[in-house]
Amino acid sequence: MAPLQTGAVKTLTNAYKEYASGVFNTSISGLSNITMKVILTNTGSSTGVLKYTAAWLDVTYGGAGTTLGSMDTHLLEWQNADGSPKSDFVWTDGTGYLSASCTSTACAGGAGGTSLTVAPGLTPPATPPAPLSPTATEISVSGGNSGDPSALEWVKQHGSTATDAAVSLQGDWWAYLEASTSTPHTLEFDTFWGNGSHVAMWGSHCNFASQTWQADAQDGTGWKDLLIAEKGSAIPCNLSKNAWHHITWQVHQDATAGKIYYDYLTIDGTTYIVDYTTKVHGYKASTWDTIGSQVQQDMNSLHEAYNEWIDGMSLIYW
Amino acid sequence: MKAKLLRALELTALVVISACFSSAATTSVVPTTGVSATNVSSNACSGQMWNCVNDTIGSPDSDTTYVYKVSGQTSGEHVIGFSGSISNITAITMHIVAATDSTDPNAAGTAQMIFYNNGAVADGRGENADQRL
Repeated sequence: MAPLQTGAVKTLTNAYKEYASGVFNTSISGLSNITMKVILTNTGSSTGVLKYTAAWLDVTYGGAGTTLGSMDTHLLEWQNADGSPKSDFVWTDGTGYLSASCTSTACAGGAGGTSLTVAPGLTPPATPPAPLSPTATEISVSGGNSGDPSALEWVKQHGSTATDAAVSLQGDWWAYLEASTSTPHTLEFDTFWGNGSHVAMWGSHCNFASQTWQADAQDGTGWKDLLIAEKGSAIPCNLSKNAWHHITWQVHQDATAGKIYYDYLTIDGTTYIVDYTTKVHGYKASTWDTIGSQVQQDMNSLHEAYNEWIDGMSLIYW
Repeated sequence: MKAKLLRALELTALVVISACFSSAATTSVVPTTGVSATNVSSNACSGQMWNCVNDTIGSPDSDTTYVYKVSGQTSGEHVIGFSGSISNITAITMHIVAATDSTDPNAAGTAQMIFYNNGAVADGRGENADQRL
């Protein structure tokens, strides 16, 4: 029986392609203890050349990190009448969260003019899975200008010495679409971080038209499908109605390399390793000093209204 | 809006700063050393040749620098190492960018990756890892 730490045998093609082992859970004290063997083996009667040009490890490590929890309870409809973002509301319950929303094109993209309501602490149509809070935040969108109107709501903290030093983040959201609601164009789930000189925006959304997960790091490349390592196909998205769905992003950034990375996307317990061609992005041109999480709703071109419920929204950083 | 803000302020939910051992940080690392090389060579590197496969993640340099199983041998092995201050590792995913020689119509073969902890095949669980791609 092959060792559990042995990746499957990969059949090579005559064009360079990424091959990934899959995620191996383990317990190793330090990175310098790890070595990796690459075995290149001819098949059939061939003795021709086999080659590889790059190798790397995705490493999961460390302790608990710092959790920013219950963010969904601080989602807020807090914007000017024209849909532009009002200055962040600072929560006075001791959490230090800042929250706001917007529907204008300049802020949320899309066509603007969206009618938005955000109502935390309500009982959703279906009870969220334990251990989530039985109440959730209901976000309703309707109306809007010609095109695809949008709405954006965020929860964040001011940057601190601790957040400025963060290099790895995990964003969690639970989302529910009511059975009777219309189908969105996209539902977006973003994590962001900045230390005043580098700003990372790990933007992602489920595109209901293409039924794929897409990413936009706001580094000038725009929305593109996220591909599955080795397979090269897009990460599928089917956030079905009348069911709670758990979305988890594990990401990191490297100021020395000037890059941000989308590492793993886990949807309802299924983890996708992001292909190297869509994993790596640049920083956003900004001087934000903050850390936070946000959700966005994009309506389809018919402006069909829908209700999204959010629970279990949290952010962990290391 | 004011009423809504007041209602929201009345929420008693607290930010939970807590330990969460089911989560951990992630990062990506490239090799920093070579350990051994058997029946492999490189177009540009000598010695343990690790520096021909340490390309910037996301930007492999294709045939600019690479390691290859030499012609005439059925199999070749290359062992590379890593370094850094990362500790308490709980999961690993291995990646390579590989190919057969496109100029050789008879080149056919496979690649396989194994990771080791202090020279021994590491203790872990990943029976279905490849199916999760």
